[in-house]
Amino acid sequence: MKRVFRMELRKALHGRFFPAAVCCGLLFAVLNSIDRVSQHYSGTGFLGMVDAAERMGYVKYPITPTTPYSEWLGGAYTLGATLFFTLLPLLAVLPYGHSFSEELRSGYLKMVVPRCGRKRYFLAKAGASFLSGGLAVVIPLAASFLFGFLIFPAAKPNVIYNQYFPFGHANMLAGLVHTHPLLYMLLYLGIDFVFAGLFACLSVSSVFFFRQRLASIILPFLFLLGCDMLRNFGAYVTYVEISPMKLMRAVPLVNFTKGPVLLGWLCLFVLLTLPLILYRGCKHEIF
Amino acid sequence: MKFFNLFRYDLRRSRLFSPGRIAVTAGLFSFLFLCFCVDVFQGFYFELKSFWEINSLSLSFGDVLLSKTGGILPLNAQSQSFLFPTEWLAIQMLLCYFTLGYMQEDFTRGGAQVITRMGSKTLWWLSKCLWNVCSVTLFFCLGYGILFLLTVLTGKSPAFTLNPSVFAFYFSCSLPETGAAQSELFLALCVLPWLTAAAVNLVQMALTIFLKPAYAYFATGCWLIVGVYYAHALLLPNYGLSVRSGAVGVYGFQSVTGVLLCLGTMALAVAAGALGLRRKDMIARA
Repeated sequence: MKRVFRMELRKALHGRFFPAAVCCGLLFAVLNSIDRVSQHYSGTGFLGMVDAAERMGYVKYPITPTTPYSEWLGGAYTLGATLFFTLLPLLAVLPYGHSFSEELRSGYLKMVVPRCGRKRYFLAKAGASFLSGGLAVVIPLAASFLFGFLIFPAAKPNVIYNQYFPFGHANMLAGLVHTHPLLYMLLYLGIDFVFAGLFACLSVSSVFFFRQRLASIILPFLFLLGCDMLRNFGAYVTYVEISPMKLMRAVPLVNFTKGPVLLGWLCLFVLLTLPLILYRGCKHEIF
Repeated sequence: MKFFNLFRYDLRRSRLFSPGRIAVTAGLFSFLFLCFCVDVFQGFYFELKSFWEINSLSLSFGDVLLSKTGGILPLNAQSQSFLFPTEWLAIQMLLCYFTLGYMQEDFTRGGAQVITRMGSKTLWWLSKCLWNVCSVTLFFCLGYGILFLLTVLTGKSPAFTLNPSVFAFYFSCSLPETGAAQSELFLALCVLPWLTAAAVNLVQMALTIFLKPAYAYFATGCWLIVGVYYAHALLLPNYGLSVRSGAVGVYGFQSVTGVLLCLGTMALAVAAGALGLRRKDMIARA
């Protein structure tokens, strides 16, 4: 099992699609950083405001509205961040989502499965897809987060500047954000990793239902766009964020994030991937 | 081999009229109509006694089209936030998916033989372009047809007249009195989105000659999203967002400019594709 998994992982991480997906994600991170850094250093920007407030004696200790927690890819609402989170399912699927479909078409499965067994093969495939998808998304996010620490003061987000860091008290883990923001952001990186990995696994399970080569890459994206549209139902009644794509942002803007909704989506994606891949994979006729 | 025969072959082989595609398109637009009704009910909750009374707000086909397929207004430069028109993007990306793979698939399978029989790569490419425009047209006819049918069946007005309060609810700004005729609204709400989509899909198909289809799809997605973010008269996707049309009045993108830009882009995509295909190694791909 270990050898099959290692081989699949090597194929996933050493292929040209993995660096391509990471580079695309990094491009969006750079776009986001350019926007936020230029805003930070502009004459009428946040630094100027803080300076003026301190000279006028409004604050005893220097506090800043711009922190790494509000300006990174998961916290800001810029073109880069929007591009990243909208195209995130594609980024997650790009490194290894096409592999199962291609191996099925080329006849590679006929060589591998008799040697290692169906269950091992499909577990390794799902594991490699999960890890490569998660890494392709988390690397740009982590890079953007670390870059934020190079530029912005590493202060805790302050409720005084709520308009620049709109984190409502009704959100999931709201207490943690203002006391241990680093822990919260790391936790959210983990959540994004798991979701991106599951999106990548969706591409493997979609191959059992759709034969077209491109379907495995694009259908998870279209499926998630459909899930995003569900937010219309109850958006003005409950004010709870339903869209899985918006739940992946560490700092929600419009509606509140709730743990049960997040867990619900997690369960659904797990159900749509792992049991389906194992069950359909073991039943699938490869010869 | 005649051009007409080739085009007929493309229509048959590309699964353009497959039940799956028709069902997905019909399902998406029906869902959008349902979303519109739910949105209006939630937005005007205090003025309505029940969900079934939303027609008392004098809704029309124009309201349905603008709110669900019209996109969003350009962002205020002061605004730090960025909301996204998911419905609009879902329509565009689904359509891009439908037209994405066929050209490349046909080229790598039977295309080489067909081109040899035709004696011209350009004619083969033109047939694919025509097929692409037909696919977009069918998609929009089906989608808008379903919206129109549902609008009429549920007792709303089939006109393009816009309701100011529904407009204010969706776009958070008041609807100016432009006095635009129904024909101008038809051009802005129906014709321009279709033409823009046709141009975008042709560009995507031309891109697949130079890039892998997945990359071409990704690039098209980025182009559409950048169009949402930057309101510029020369950025084509802006004309697909009908709420920015001059006929609606809030933003001044002129329909005539849009039509000319779409036709220009389509001509460029066809020309670039023809040139790219001429340089492409047919034997290595076959």
